[in-house]
Amino acid sequence: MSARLLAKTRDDDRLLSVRSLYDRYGAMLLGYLFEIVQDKDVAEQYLVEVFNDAAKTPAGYSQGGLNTLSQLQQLARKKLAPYYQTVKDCAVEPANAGSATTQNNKYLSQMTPQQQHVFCGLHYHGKSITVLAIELQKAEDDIRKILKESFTLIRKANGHTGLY
Amino acid sequence: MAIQDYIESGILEAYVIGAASADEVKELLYLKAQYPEINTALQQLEADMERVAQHMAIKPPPGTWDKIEQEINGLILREDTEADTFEQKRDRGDYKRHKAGSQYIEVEAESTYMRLHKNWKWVFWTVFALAKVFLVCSIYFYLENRQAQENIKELKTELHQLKK
Repeated sequence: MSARLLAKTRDDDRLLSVRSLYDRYGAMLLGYLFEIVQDKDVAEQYLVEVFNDAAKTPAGYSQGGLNTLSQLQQLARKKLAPYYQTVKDCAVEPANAGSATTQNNKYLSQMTPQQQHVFCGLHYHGKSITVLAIELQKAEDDIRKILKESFTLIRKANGHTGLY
Repeated sequence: MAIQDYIESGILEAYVIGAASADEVKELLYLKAQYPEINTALQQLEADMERVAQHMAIKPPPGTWDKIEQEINGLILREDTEADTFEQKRDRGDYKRHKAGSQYIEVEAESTYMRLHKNWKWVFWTVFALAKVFLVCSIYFYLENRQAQENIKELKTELHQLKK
């Protein structure tokens, strides 16, 4: 088989790998991006960019470490880094009702304002635990505990117990 | 630290959400390989995150994949073109050596030889031939001059004798 044919096969495989990722995670990732940017066109534009980046190393998304969705979300967070400064903090409070990430999110609506602040800050706004610890004037271990409580609520909302 | 305490610390949640530090990730991956309960807990957290993402999923507009495919095809084309250009240059000898695994192409050759255009050959031959002509002329005129000087010297001697 010639080198050119091998390269063509490799390129086709790469395109198929990305298509498979897109079919499985495209809608989830678009939803995630939309919750942050609150604009369907902008979210779609970021979605295209994320999958273009994923196309550079599609095989890396099916190997150990984090699962594929988490890796794609991390890629999206990197892409959105310049955008975060313009996004409002999310909290289901009257003053912030309708702000990014709170609309129709049954998981967030069950969390306390503090849990929302931590979960949204980390998941949607790309903040670090250190930054949140300073913002909330708490120890980093406390922020992790609050994050864990948020996950427990998510699990309960899904009809599961909080036990591993 | 007991494994259950480690699981309860919130580090796993921070890892899944992409907020764990490099040291925490390293430690977690090590412990994950050692303790199956950590692996199970991680899988459950990833499943929780996937459920959140599914809940907020938005179906991408019909033309989104076409945009991604177009971008990826462009990327593949650029990569192929760059690879072809590099191979052509290498075949022509434009690149002297390229160490395996190196990201850099050695531009300055280690060889003590210098490559020149073939037209310079005729310039060098002309300069060489002219140099030979000038050398012969110089020797000829030197000898002529010396002969003339001797003749003058003889004539002066004869003139001097005649005067006496």
